[in-house]
Amino acid sequence: MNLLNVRDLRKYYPIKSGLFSKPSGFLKAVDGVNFSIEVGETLGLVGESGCGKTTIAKIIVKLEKPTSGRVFYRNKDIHSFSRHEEHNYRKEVQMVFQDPHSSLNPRMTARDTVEEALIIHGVGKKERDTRVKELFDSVGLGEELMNRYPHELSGGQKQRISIARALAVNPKLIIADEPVSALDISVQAQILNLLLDLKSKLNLSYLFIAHNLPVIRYISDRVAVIYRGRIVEYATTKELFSNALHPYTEILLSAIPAEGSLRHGQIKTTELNVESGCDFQNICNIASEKCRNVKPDMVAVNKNHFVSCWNH
Amino acid sequence: MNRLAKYYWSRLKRNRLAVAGMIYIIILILIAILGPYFTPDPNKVNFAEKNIPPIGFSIKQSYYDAKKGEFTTVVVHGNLEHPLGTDDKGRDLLSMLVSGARVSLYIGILATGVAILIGAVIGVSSAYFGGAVDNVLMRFTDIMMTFPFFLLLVFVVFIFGQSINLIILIIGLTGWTGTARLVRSEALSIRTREFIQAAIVLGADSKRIILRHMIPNVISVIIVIATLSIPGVILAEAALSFIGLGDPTVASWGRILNAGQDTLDTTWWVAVEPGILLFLTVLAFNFLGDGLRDAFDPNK
Repeated sequence: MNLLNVRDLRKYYPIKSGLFSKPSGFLKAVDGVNFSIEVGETLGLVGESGCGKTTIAKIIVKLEKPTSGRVFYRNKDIHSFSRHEEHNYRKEVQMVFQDPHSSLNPRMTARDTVEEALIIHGVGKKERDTRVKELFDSVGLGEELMNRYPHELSGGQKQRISIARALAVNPKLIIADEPVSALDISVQAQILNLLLDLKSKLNLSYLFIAHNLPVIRYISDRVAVIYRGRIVEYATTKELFSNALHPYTEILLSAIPAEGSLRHGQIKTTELNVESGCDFQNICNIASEKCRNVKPDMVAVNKNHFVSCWNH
Repeated sequence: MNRLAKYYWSRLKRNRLAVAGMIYIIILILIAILGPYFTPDPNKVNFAEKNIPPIGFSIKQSYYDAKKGEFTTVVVHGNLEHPLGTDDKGRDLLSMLVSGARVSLYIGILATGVAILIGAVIGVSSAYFGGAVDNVLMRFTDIMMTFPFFLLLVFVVFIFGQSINLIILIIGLTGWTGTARLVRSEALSIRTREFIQAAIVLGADSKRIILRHMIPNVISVIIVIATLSIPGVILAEAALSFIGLGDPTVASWGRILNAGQDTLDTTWWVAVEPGILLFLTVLAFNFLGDGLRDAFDPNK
């Protein structure tokens, strides 16, 4: 069953040089993105920093408004919700953030943070107490940590509390925006396993955002590779890792970044900007005349694999 | 004591000057509250005991002896009955300074309270709502900043008379602009933190976000600003009293200082004693404010 459906999503930020000047152009953070998430599925979004991953996440949880395009949750447009539907959406779709330190209020104890989610959704005091205990238990935190403040907790513990807060309202879909990239490698594995456990126990779906391919491979059922605000390849995890088609995916997959392509410090933005055709043409080493003139469409290679490249 | 308070106390404790300042302020507040019950009436005039110097000092005083019909000179020593001396009307300076402490602290704390309250509300709303609200509030703050506060005070005092509550109100109503800006900038950085976004995603309303997430996180800045602006207000009132715009019915430190300045060459202690107290109090508040700022700063 289809849980979330994103259709032709775009988010353009105007580039202004002064307060009263007209925008000189638009930064296309998200530029025509389509994907869907089925119930119980994990979709991985992967791409380098600044490619629009987080913007997509923020549009889905309504922290940002899209310039155009639509997001459907259970086949209803999230921007035309009634009050009741909005309230329900806030319960069913939750987000886990990247920075465990910044995602907890430093003036609230771990318990208060988790309990607040229940208060907002009108759970009674007695029920809250048992529920908070359950939640601490389910994310693998001892009760002795309940009264700690964020500065008294480790990064992994903080991220577990963030997860407990998101789980408090019994969500169906969790948007995880780089939830492990700020953690130590050993802690990363623990958190990933926790997320996988919770998924099967609570029948959750995830939109999992990361820039780290091994992490994506470990957790995702399907993967969307994003380059400059567009999905360039979209396939099941197995298919993508065994048969990557887009040159950008190939670069991501090869351990060594291609010459001058991913070393951000060394490429100027102007070199990356394209007038027409494929966004990737200046980096791609198989770019043809067609790539320079016409933007490629998403084409199906088979029913589990889509790619946006003229060479396939 | 709450564990969070304990944590900040343990950080504040490391700064000795701040602790010294805090102890001084606590003692001063206790004296201001309880002192007037133990010291003699500060308004009791007694010309027989005028111009007595503080303990350990003595001055020559000449007066007209009506019996002999000529001026005689006597040496007046400081005595225990008036440990800090008396003024030219024979009023006990210790009593005057103790009740003056009450007045000066009353003005400092109340006027700061008014200013901080207005500044915090404007600053937090400006940062939280952003956009047009932010623009309107900040331009209003700019206008208030350039407003000639002193001129207003002179006008109001001229029209309504020199009342202490009026002075507090005016200092409070015009002194919030700096607070508003500082609180706004702090709140802006809090606004972008992920826990605010998490609260929005959970469906928290503006009221909850402001009261539970924004205010508790800017409160440390507010405490620091308050501590650092109390001495400013005390000094502002002293300055007003000094130029004769204070409330003539209450003896603040500034007014005692003003009264003593004419006779600085003879009865110097009348001006010097409130001056020293003002100096120490301002210093103590500044030390405490600095210490609090460091204690609340997560990067220190």
